[in-house]
Amino acid sequence: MSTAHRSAGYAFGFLDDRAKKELRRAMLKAVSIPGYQVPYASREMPIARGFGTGGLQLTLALIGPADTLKVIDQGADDSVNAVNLRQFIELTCPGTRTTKRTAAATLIQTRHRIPEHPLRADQILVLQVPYPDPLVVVEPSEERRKTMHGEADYARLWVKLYEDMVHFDEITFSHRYPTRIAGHYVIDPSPIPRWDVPKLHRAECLYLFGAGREKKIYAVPPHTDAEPLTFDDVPFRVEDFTDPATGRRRACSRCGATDSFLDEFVDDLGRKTHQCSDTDHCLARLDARATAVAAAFAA
Amino acid sequence: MRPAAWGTPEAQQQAFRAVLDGFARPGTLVAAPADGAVLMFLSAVLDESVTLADPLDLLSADTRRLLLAPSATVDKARFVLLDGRTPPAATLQPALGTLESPELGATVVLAVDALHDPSQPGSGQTTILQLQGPGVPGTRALAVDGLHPGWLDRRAAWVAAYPMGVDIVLAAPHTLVALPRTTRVASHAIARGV
Repeated sequence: MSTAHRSAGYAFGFLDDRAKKELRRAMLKAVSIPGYQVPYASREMPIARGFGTGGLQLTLALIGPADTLKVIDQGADDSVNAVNLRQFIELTCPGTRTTKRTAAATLIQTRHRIPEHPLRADQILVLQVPYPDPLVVVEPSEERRKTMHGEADYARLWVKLYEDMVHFDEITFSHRYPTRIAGHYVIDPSPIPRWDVPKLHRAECLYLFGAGREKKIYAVPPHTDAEPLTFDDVPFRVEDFTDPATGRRRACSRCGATDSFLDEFVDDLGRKTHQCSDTDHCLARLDARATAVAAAFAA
Repeated sequence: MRPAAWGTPEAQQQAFRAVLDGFARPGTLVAAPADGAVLMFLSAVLDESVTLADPLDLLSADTRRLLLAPSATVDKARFVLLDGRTPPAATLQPALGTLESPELGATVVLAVDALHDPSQPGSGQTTILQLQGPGVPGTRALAVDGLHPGWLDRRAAWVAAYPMGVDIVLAAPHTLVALPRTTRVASHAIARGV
């Protein structure tokens, strides 16, 4: 991508220094108290609340001229939310670079997915969060939720999971799966699929979560326990991509991957096909295959 | 007049990223620019909206003004700057936050002589810390020169009722190390350096 972005006439990073400092203080406390939702004064942004303002504010408080940024929306760099956010940051952060390659990024803002390829210690993943509090399904009062979090009292959440098992033989959280961080706070890990939840556990990279509408910031530091809530006799399960017709795992229709999270599409003929949700992962595999074919011909 | 190097938004952004990395990986050495580790940390986080206690006047009056943060007593301030080389006062009690709002626990910056890898020789009194907890794969060892052992006992009492507690920044002249409240100091030994 180009590096010479035209200036939009704002200070670097759009936010004023006071706003950035507040976000930075909140981030340090979020890392110091893993999983705790640190309140902050979410600023008005030139995009609507609910479109990633929390993640965007974190990114703008983090980014500097040495950074290379990637923006993901549902695994892809090319959907509307990702394109708009990336263009906004290009306009307001002159000197920074943007990329679509996970490996080249130092800072990644994402909505609903964690990249397939494990992130490195020098990378930070910023997640956009719509609903930060996992207790909201069992307790409407924020004041009481804060006490429950402080006491690590998740009994009513456990009851909800138990009732799911009684009614449906399955815990009904398909995404936003409640996950306990460092043995104390339970977080809503934003609407990532269950597939991505194990990536939070003892990772190399720092995960930061920003909820702009709900005005909360929380974090999962590297090398930190992240355990999805589950019962001893009901193991945590990720999405199952086995094709019931063949009994084999479905593969990506583009790159053939059988180890990635798949999105289901209906093609023009009404048939269901599956593709990697993480487009960079898919393209990297296709590129590697093309390189291998070219090398084989050259040899 | 040009602002001091640490006063620019660019320097503060870089300082913050280094500090954030230090907090995410407790016990790792964070290199500070020429202005020193104390200013690197304070300039990255302070403005008019949070309080700083500097009861020993470790900062010059000019620096203190440029940091913008209003003063508060040690028990109320969000950020506290103290000298780790001398024993903590018996009455010292920084804010620990509350069960509902543990982020109100203070960040305490302790000035020390040096921070280094335990395999390097220290000077004066060296304390070897074995650290565990979030951000630490297994155990991480850290050597601190010139930290009065009384601080480790006081810290242990302050962080005993998690999630309440204080987060500590050890600041040597050109290096800093973060010890968030979750970091367990598994053992510490004191060795006399040469």
